[in-house]
Amino acid sequence: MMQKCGQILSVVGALIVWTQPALAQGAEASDKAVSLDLVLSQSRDLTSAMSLAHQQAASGDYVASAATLERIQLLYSNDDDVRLAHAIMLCHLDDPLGAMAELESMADKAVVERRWDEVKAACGGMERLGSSEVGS
Amino acid sequence: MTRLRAKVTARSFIAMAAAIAMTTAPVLSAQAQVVGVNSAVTNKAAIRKGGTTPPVRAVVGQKIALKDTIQTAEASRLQMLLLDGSVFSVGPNAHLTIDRYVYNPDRNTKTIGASVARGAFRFMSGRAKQSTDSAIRTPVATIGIRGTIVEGVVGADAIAIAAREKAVGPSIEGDPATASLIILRGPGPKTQGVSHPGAIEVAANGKTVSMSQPMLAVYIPRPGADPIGPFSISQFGLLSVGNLLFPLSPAALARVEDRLAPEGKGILEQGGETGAIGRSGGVGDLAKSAERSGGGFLSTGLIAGLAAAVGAVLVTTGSGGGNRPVSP
Repeated sequence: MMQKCGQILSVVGALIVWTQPALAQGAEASDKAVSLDLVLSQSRDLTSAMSLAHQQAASGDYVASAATLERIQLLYSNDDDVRLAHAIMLCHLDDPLGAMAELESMADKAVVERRWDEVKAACGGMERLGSSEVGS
Repeated sequence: MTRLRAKVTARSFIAMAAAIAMTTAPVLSAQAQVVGVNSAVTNKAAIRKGGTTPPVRAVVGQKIALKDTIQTAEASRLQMLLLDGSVFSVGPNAHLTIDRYVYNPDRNTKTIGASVARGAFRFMSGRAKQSTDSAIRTPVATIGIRGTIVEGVVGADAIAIAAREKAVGPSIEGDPATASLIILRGPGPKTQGVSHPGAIEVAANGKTVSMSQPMLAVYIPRPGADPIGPFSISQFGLLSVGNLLFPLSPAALARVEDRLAPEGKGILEQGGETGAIGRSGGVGDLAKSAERSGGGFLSTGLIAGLAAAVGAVLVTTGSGGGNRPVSP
C-alpha cells in the first residue's frame, strides 16, 4: 500500500515538477508582454515614439530604434526627418546601401543637408548624396 | 477491506494527479501561446485565432498567439512586436502566421518559425540569440535566419520587382501566387551597438544560398525552380519593396522614379499597391512577355485572366491590386 502511494506521489511530484518551468515561462512571457505594453505606451504619440527611438539608439539598440522608426512611419509620419533618422540607424547597422536608398527616396534634400553631420558621423565616408541638387 | 481502502486511496491519488494535469494544461497552453502584440495597424488588418476562427479586426495592443494568422487588406499594413523584441512588419494583402516560438529570457535564446504565404514582409530580430533552426517559410523557400534583418515579397509583386533586376530579367517566368524575392538587410559585419551581424540561408528546390552581406537578394520564381542569386539588389528594387511596407510620399515617389526607375515614371504608386507595380511592367508586361515567348509556366488563359484582373481593379479602385483583396 505504502509502496503504491509512494509511486503515485512520485507521479504527482513529477507532474508538478514538469509543470513548474512551463508555468514560470508563461509568467515570464506575461512579464515580457507587460514590457511590450510599456513600449506601446511610449509609442502613443509622435513625440513619445521619437523619444523612445532616441533612447533605444542611445543604449546601442539600433535594431529596436529602427523598428520604432518604422512604427512611426506607419502610425504618424512618413516625413523626411523620420526617413533620415531611419537612414542613420541603417548606417549604424552597417547597411550603408540601404541607407543610401533611404536618402535617395527623400524628397527634400535640405533635410539631409541640415543634418549632414549626423549622417556623416553614422555613415562614415558616404558620398554626400544629391548635394548638387540642394537648392536646385 | 484494507485492500479495498488501498484501492480507493490509490484511485483518489490518480484522480488528483489527473485533476492537476487537467487544470494546469489549459493554463499552460493559454499562457505559453502568447508570442507578441500588434504594435501598429494601418487601414484594415485581421487576425484568425489559431488560423481557423473567423477573422477579427486587428488593433494596436492586441495580443498575438501562436498559430494566429495575420491578414492585411489592400493599402493596409501591420507591425507585430514579439516578446523578445523581434519585429515583423507586413505590407498590403499579406498573410503571416507565427508557427513556432520558444523564448527563454534566462538564457536569452529564442526559436522562431513563421510562414509568409503572400505579401511583403520585414523581420527584425530582437536581442535574444536565435537558435539555428529559426526560419521563415514562403510557399517556395525556407529562410534560415540568424540575428537578422530580412525582408521579402511573396506573389506577383516579387515577379514585378525581380523582373527589373539585371540578375533576373523579364524573361524568367514566375508563379504569381508563390514567387518569392528575399533580401538580407543586415546587420552588416561592422554593425555597431548591441546588435550582431546577420546572415540567412535560403533553401529552395534542394539548393541552399547563403548570404551574410546586406543588400544581397535571392529570387525563387516558382515551385520547383532553383533559387536565382545571390545578387545585389538595385536601389530601385530595394525601394520598391520598401514602398510596399512603408509607403513613400508622392514627392518621394516622383523623385525615386525620376532618378532610379529603369523605365521612367508610373511604375510605383503611393501605397505600393500590387497593381501599381503590375500596371507598367509587372503582371501585365510579364503576361505579354510570356505570350511572346509562347506561354511557358503561365498558361495563356491565366495570363489573360491576370491581365484582365489587374486592369479591372485599376479601373474600379484607381489604386491597383493584382492580388485578391483580403476582407478582414
